[in-house]
Amino acid sequence: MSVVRIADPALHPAHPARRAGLVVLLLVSALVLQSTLFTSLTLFGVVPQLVFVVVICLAAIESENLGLVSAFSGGLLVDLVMPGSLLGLTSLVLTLVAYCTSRASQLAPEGSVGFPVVAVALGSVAAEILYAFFSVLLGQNWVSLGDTVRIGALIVLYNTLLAPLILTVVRWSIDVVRGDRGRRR
Amino acid sequence: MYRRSGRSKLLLLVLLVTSAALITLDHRSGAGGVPHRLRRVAQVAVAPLQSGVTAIGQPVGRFVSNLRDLGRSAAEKERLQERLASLEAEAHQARGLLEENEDLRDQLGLSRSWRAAERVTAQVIADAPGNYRWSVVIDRGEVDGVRRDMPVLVPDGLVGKVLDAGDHQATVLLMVDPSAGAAARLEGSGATGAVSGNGVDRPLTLEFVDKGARVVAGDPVVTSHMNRGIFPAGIPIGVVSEVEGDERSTEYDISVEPYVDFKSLQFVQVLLLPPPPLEGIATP
Repeated sequence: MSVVRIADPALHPAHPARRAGLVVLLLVSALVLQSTLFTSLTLFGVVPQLVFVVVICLAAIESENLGLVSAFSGGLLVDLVMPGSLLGLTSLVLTLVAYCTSRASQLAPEGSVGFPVVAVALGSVAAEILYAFFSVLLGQNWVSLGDTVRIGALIVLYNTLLAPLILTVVRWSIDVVRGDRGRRR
Repeated sequence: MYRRSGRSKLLLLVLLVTSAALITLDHRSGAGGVPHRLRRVAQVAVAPLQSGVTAIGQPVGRFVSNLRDLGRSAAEKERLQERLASLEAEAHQARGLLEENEDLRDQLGLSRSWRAAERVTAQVIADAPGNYRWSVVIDRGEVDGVRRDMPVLVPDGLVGKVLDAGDHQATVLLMVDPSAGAAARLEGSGATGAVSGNGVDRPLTLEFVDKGARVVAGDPVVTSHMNRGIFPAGIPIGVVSEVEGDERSTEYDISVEPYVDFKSLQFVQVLLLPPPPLEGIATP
């Protein structure tokens, strides 16, 4: 009698170091692409927030703790590289968004493609509002309210359009690290 | 299940408190503080990757830009050729005048103009990763003589200032950023004020210009040394596009269209001029 193995993430948890390496690789790649290639591929002058999308995808499909740590690290990375941003501000915003996404994902059906995309859309709205609110509250120089709404809306649209593609890349990378992709072959 | 949820809540709390502590630390520390040093380390680590991706991805970016501009490229080419011919003639005349001007300044013992200042040309290797901050990373740093607060320009006019310099790269704050500013002078009337940014698609704002001054749309705006501004006087910024202000106000509300196209910066020049010392602070 043959034993059928099911590729369940809980049964095949990747080594913590490999998972951490994957998260760092995904976040750094997103940040570098966001600040270079995508500055030429803008949507009405707006650059997509790839780091946000990666973080929300991870929070939607991975464990709550991994989602939180990824969000904090991704936010910190953005703050470190973005001049004028207060260190810790993006990490605070992304950690809050990732926590809400993780909690909501427990109500979504397993393996759903729709949920992460909706999570990216709603998470981007929340992240833009929170980031603008905290920046103004902390006395940062900021653009007008009209520009904030226009830029924020375009970011949400661009992030959502890219979400299915980035979700595929994130899921594929997780499978590779877990070794599921090799076993399936 | 409850224990797992409790551990997540504890982790959430730890991460939020750490974020808040970092915000406080950054808010209170100055240019030499821990956050500044961390930023420099991160920039040094990320810059080579950005430089590599820019080198590989530039043809893709150019292709997309060309596709966008395809419809207007023929008319644009004709216009640019006419402009080139006219500018070549002006440049020839200007070179002669510049040399004459520098000779006269030397004879009168006046300080030399920014046009004669030493400069380095740098390539833009990355933009700020956000949409509410406008800055770029260039591939020249302290080893090339680049220092904090040095003016950055293109042939069209003022781009911004060096915000921070690492060994081999530097971050430039663009004039369109809301936190950027410069002392400015209206060339027509000689009135002075201060320009600040409003984002890349918006004109600059010129404030603190006295209502007594005559200001009209089309007036050129240049940098000024007023209040010991960090930029040398006379660098072109833009032209007045709109003048507002009711009769009761004592100052104008002026919009300035910048000369520089901040969306397509590829190469910039850093003037190797140290910023003037701050008043009341002794320099060695």
